[in-house]
Amino acid sequence: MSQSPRISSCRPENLTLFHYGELDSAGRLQVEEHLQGCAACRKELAELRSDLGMLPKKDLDFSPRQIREFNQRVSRLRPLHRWPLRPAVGWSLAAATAVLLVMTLKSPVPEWLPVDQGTSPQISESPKSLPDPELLLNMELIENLDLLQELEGMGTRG
Amino acid sequence: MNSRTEKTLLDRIRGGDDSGFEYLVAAHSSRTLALAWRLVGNREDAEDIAQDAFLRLHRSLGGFRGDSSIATWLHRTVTHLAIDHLRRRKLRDKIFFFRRSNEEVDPMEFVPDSGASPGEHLFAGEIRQRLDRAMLRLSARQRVVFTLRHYEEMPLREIAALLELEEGTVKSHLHRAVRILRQELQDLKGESS
Repeated sequence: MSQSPRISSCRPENLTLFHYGELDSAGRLQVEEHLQGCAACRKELAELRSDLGMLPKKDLDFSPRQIREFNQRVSRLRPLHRWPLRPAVGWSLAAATAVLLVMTLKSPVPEWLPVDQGTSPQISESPKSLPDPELLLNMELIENLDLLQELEGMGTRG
Repeated sequence: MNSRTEKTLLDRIRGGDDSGFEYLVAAHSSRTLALAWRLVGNREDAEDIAQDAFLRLHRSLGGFRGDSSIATWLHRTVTHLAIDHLRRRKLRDKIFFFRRSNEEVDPMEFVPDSGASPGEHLFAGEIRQRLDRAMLRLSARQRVVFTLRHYEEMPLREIAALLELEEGTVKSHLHRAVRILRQELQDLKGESS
């Protein structure tokens, strides 16, 4: 492989970026100079362009009917609440919540609460006993196993 | 949709005008659906992702400050949802050895060139299958970077900002994606010439 006097090595990544016009002017100039003296990189660039040119143009346009159906579905599924709450309503709600909270906190402890904390069940679990998020994810995936196998058995798409 | 129209529309929606949101969906659904489809390569999944994005938009409209346009917001949300979706799909495939390579191709996904001969149709179909297969070999980020750069023609700088990655990382993702795609097409090259 011949080399240009300024560029000592061939860098395929630069050819990809050169093809997509993603090099700055200095980088572009470097590659252009390198290409003048490097037949292997010229060939590689030509092949890169040819390969990418083979890729299909993805005309992934939904039909007007499909889009209309989609729009209707989204409109149907959207929550029916109104937002934002008007400031006055919002403040009133916040005040009512605060009053309720204060009343709850100030009320005496009910007598039926278990006294012996050592033997009674804990109300909240300690953070250590919370399930691992990864475990939850795997459990969720395992729950999907039946569905996937069923779909596979039916020969439909997963 | 210009920013002034968008602002007027947002005010209408916040004021309780239901038709405003419907108008917003109608204005953006086509592009949002197409982007989601390109990113995940499956029409049904694309519809789910686009729908999720619009419902999230609806939930966020109350606090939407207009720092970015609705289109940009949707673009970013769809891209992140697509990455999550692709990662989950990859993990699922790994756990259950559930191969989707032959199921991935949706014959309706590509519009054939009406002027092409039957032989050209066959060849184009083969390339599409290879492309889908190669896409499955890419990581979620590689796939998204390639799709955004190659098909959406989005500059890498913008992709980096969108994905909150270094530009150098995005460049590497693009290069690796192109290399994997080219490997998959390698033996077809002789037939095309």
